[in-house]
Amino acid sequence: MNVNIRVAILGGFVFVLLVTMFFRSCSKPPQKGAQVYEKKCADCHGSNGEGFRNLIPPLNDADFLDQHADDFACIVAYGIDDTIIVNGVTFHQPMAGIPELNEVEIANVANYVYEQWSTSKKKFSPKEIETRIANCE
Amino acid sequence: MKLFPFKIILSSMALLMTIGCIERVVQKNELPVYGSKEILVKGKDGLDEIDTITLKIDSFQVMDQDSQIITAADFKGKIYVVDFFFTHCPTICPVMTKNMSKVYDEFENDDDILFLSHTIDIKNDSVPQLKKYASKIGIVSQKWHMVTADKMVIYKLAEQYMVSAEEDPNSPGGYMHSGAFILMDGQHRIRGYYDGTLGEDTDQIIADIKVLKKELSNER
Repeated sequence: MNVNIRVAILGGFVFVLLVTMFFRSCSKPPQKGAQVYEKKCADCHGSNGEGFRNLIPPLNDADFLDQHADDFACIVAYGIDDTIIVNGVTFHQPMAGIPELNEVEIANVANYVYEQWSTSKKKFSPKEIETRIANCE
Repeated sequence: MKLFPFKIILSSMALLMTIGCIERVVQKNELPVYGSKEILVKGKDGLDEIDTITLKIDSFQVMDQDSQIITAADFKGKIYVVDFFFTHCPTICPVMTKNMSKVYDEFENDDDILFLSHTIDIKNDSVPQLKKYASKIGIVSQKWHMVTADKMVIYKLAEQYMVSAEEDPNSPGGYMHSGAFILMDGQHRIRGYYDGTLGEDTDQIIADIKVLKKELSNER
């Protein structure tokens, strides 16, 4: 076989490999909920939901998630300024609501958080989120 | 033959990967001094000369979370990071505290590096409240002073550091303020501004503190 053709084929392989690596190394998590989480929640709660010391409560493996699944939508939409206990630790750091998120985005982020970090793996529909938000205290 | 374009494509691809995906911290040899201005003065021979006045924030008295009186003298010859916050701030402050803690952890055993956080909510952030907040993040007051003072003192300081801080009923928590970290040198001069809410800027301030460390050891 012609040497040039062999080199060209090899070069082609390397090229495809590099292109793949390029896009993989820059790609964001494909999930919609993960995207909302990274943009709106991760700065404080951490990319792995680990929270921050005794200042910001964790979401990862937090008993609070399943105890307060009905409050999730309202906390995201309107924030919270209560004393809460998460895995036995008391937190009281106000969190601002995120009014710009619609019910579909909140459902996506709720499903992402509960799928990853809750015991129940509860699923939320946009309809349910909408109903909850209409009835926040 | 005709293999040349491949080389170009391959190398440009590699270049793109390098610059496009790696989080960059700019390595500097020297940091600027902020707030200097040049003025005309009369020299000895009566002729006009240009003199430079450097902004130094070297006169203040505040109280920290352990009721210690803290003055500028406590920071002389130290490198320190300054910010303005309040403990019940629901938006940017928890992130700022988290990022500041990262810098604190990096230099935990280095006595040359100190931290100075001013509350802008004098009403609610009493000394015990600051103490409570500090204990939640597990920091010690010898290294990270969380301070309060008369309202006018704090707001005047914010002005000197050239950052915004004001009461604003329309802002979450009732205050509007800058999320900046201000890097100060041993002569109380401003050497850098960083966005305290960004991870990249946190890495940058860590790199820049190391630059000031070198400067400090050269001065000694």
